[in-house]
Amino acid sequence: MNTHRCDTRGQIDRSKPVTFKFDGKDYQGYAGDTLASALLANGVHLVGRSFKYHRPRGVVTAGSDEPNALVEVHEGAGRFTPNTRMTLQEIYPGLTVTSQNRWPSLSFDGMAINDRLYMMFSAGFYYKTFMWPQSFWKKVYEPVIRQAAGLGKPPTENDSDNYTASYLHCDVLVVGTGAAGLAAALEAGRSGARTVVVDEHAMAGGSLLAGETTTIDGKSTADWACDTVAELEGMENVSLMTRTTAFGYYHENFVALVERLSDHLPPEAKPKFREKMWRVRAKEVVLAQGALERPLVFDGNDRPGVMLASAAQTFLHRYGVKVCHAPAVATSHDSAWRVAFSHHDAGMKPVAIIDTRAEVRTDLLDEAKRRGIPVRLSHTVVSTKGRLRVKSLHIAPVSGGKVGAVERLSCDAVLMCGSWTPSLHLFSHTKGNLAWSDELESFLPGEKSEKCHIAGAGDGLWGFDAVLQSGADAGAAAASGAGFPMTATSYAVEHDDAGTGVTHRELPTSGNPGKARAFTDFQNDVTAKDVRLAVREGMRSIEHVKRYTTNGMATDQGKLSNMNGLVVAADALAKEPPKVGLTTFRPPYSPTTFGTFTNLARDEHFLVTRRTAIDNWAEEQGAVFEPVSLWRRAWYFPQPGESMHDAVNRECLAMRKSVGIFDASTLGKIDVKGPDAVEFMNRMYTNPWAKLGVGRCRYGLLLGEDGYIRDDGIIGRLAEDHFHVTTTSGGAPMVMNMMEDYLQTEWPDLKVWLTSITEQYSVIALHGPNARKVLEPFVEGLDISEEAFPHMSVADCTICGLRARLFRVSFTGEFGFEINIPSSHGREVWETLMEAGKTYGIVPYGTEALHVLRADKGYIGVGQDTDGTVTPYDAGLGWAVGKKKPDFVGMRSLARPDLAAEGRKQLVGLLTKDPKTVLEEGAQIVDDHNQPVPMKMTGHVTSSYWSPTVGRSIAMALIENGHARLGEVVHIPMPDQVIEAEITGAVFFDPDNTRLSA
Amino acid sequence: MMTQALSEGLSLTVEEFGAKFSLRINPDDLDTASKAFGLAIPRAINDGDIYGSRRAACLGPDEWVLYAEAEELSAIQNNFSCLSTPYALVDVTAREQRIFLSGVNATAAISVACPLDLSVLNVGQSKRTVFDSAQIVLNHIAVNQWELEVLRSFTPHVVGLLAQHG
Repeated sequence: MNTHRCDTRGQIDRSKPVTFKFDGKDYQGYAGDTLASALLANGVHLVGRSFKYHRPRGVVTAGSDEPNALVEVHEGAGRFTPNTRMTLQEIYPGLTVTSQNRWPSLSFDGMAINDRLYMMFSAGFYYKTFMWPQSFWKKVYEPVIRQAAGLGKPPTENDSDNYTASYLHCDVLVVGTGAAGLAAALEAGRSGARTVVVDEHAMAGGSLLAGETTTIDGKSTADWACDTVAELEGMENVSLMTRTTAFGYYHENFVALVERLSDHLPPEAKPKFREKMWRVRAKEVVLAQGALERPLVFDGNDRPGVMLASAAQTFLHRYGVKVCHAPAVATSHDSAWRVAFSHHDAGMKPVAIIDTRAEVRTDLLDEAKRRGIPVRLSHTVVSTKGRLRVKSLHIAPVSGGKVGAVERLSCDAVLMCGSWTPSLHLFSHTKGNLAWSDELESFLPGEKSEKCHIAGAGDGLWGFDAVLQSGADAGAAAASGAGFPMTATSYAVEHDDAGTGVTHRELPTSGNPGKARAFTDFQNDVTAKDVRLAVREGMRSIEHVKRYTTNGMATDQGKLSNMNGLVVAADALAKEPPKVGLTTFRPPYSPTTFGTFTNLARDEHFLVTRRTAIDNWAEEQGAVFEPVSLWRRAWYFPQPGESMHDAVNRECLAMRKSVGIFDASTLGKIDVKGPDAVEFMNRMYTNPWAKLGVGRCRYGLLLGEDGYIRDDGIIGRLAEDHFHVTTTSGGAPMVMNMMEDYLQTEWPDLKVWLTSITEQYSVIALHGPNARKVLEPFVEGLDISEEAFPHMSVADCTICGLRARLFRVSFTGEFGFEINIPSSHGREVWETLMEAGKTYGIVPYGTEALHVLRADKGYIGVGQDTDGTVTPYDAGLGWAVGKKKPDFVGMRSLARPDLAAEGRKQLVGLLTKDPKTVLEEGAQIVDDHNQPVPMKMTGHVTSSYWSPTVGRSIAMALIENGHARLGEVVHIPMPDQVIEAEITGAVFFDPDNTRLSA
Repeated sequence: MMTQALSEGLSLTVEEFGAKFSLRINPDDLDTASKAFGLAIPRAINDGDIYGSRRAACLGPDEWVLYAEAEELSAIQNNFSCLSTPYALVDVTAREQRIFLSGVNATAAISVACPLDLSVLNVGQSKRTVFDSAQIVLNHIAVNQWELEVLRSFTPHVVGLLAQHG
């Protein structure tokens, strides 16, 4: 018979034994057990080693505040999770876990030498000890410290689990399912409001599951919880989610939840997703997170077997586990007395109740007496003893500030309670103010900034009666606030025990306080002495104390340590705690997997990739792609054995020689229509539009209000009141937004409408001397001869039987067309033209070839040759600015003295002295490379390519006063050489544009 | 076109539109547009109306989408060309693809990446919103039947996310 189990208590399923493995050894528990409860049921208290000193550690809590009981869970390839809290991890058959931060084993850890050297490792020891030599930092100190200190190892394989997410809208969100949460949920549920209720544990009920004597409406608290959960589950408007943590509370009642879907199930039963992130938008929120019990701070309070009294109570009532047989109960609050009585009544023999207070309620004293439990009032805890498990507790009376003779109590556990801290984490996320309560010696929620209600122990209330009422009130208020009027229900609570208590700094001791290992932060191994040292060394604010000592900075987010650290620091500073401050809680409330945050946004869905209708054809041809804003575009089409350089050269030459085909579908396209279309275009673009004939095109230049180039593109006039605007691929959304912004806010009187047609059309650019021969057979309803359809023409027509819009334009300097066809038929037309072009050796080319071809002609690439500080005049595009226009966006700025000044950085061509040298884009340019460092840089290279057309390297650059310096030599210093280049015009090929006609 | 049963209670079909127009016009002139289109174009944002093969939805204060069969495209353009008031009727038939989601899990599937409270969109209504980083128009066709109008270049991303969620 297992002497650690209590057969009459616990909500575990005794018909389902579960075998699991801890550190290579098999243990047995029951379905419903957590790792912590199951190991404790096997008498195992030692479960981990501490962060810095490698001290033996045991289970301290029964919840998500657990600082010590962290393990690595192994579930096969790509399924390794370190730092799993044993108090939340449910067991299943075959679950395999190992302890962390110990070598070679838990019971014998070589690194425990650190504990002997603890005087060395006081607060700030990193800063003081490892100052020099600097060269030791990276190679010696850091690796050694990281190896010696720390938690679990990070996984080395990609996570093979899947994660998902969802938005969720509700009227009322209730966080927590203790007495307050369930009472609130009932009100909201009964009101008809869409209600979501969450709890981080596997079972709803919270402390109701560990109550004993109290009755609610005549039922035990556990039965009431059970019935209430059943009622809530029966309501269609209520969604009750367990194993779900509300980890962040953001603006406008936006609360993030993580639902753990699979960690409690064996591999064969795991669902598709491990975890789900719920993004909840709630009209009203009820926070019923309860309170966290505070540890007492005394020498050896971290020894395995020393745990929070409420945790022992939970293990007993919820899991049917006796964590001990002869506990000593050390407390400063009435609540732990109940725990002692429960343990006695369950067959254990509490050796004593040690209370720091001089006076305790007589009914408690009577009950202790009736059970024969010795009581020590006005006592302090001096220390604990026991190597891997507590064996004795040393206590002493305190009188008039003096600590008396030490009494040794043999025990197998110490159940401690240093009062309670309302859990304010989520409330703190909302930036609501915290208010200090002198009575409770705790922070409470103050002024609220969101539509939220704080109920129960989280609001500093104690006892089921007050907590239930507070929950019901909050639930009714939340439902009413969401539009479902409700009056709070009343409950008949009997045998309630609303206890009180006091809080303490580290307990007084008769030993040397300088040697006391009295921990405030178990997880980061911070002692009260460290906190005092930080104050002595000049830290005044708790924010500084926290960072200097790392108190409260572990993965448990200071749930147990913040308040104890604060009261010790306040005592050292001789100030009230609120004067020393409380650190801000930030999301997540408890450790949350990266998988949850990433959820579906992984691999190819990490960022959206936009694909043209011709993209899959390019992929089939083995194209190499490059990202252009959100698009991916075919970069070049390598043939077998070709390098990128080979492919680009071949593509360029084939286009110039015969015909090339290019997918230009990503070009932004905006339909501008209305009686005021011309006026609108005149105001937006630098160019004049009134005289542009119907069926004709013009290069358009768009500036920002600052006068700098924002975008450009070819614009065709389809009718008197109708333009087809094209933009750069990356600039399309910006241009559309900018135009709409002006139209809606500056010129709402203009009768003109903008419609995005970027994706309506696939754009196939067909260029080269033979382009017309390839296209002509497929065109109906339009004469595309040189005479009828000259350069810079546009017309609607039929191509391949489809409604099409044809442009006679060129971004390569070569004769050709841009064919706009409905994108649903983009690939089909592309393949038709490819087939027809075979006779002429048609070659598909990618964006790299396009860049080279346009640079041959000195056509600028906005965003490449411009950087947001280039005016039309700087770029040599002064001809595109309408001189007689009354206004256009950026016109006024162009008149500013610094923009109109001589000698600005101007776009020019650069030809290297050695024609084989291709400059690096972005390289800096100096006039005299022999000048002393730092040299004056007069410009930089913006575009640079090997041009197979010109037969040499070509480049463009922005150089100070460049337009006036044609023919001058400049220098480009590189790591291995200085390159000499001559400033030239930017047109390297066919300056007379003879090739635009054919 | 392609139909996938993503999971029990959720199937997905990607289709092309027959004919689809973006209509911009002064709301005061809407009656003339209704006459040209052959159905009373709704005035309230998100509302939709259907008559025969034609459907109209209001997306903004002066913005509508009109739907019809492919062969009706030219006739509709011709009808509008007789209007004496200014308007913009732009053929956007190929701009978006339509992703049909149906089944008891269809609504939940949209909530995976659409931040909208879907319960506010009644059957017959339409709304411009987002799905992950893609702009969409969401049409509530019938109980457990939704249509996402997705810009064509975003379709692989949207379908991929829906398939991954299942």
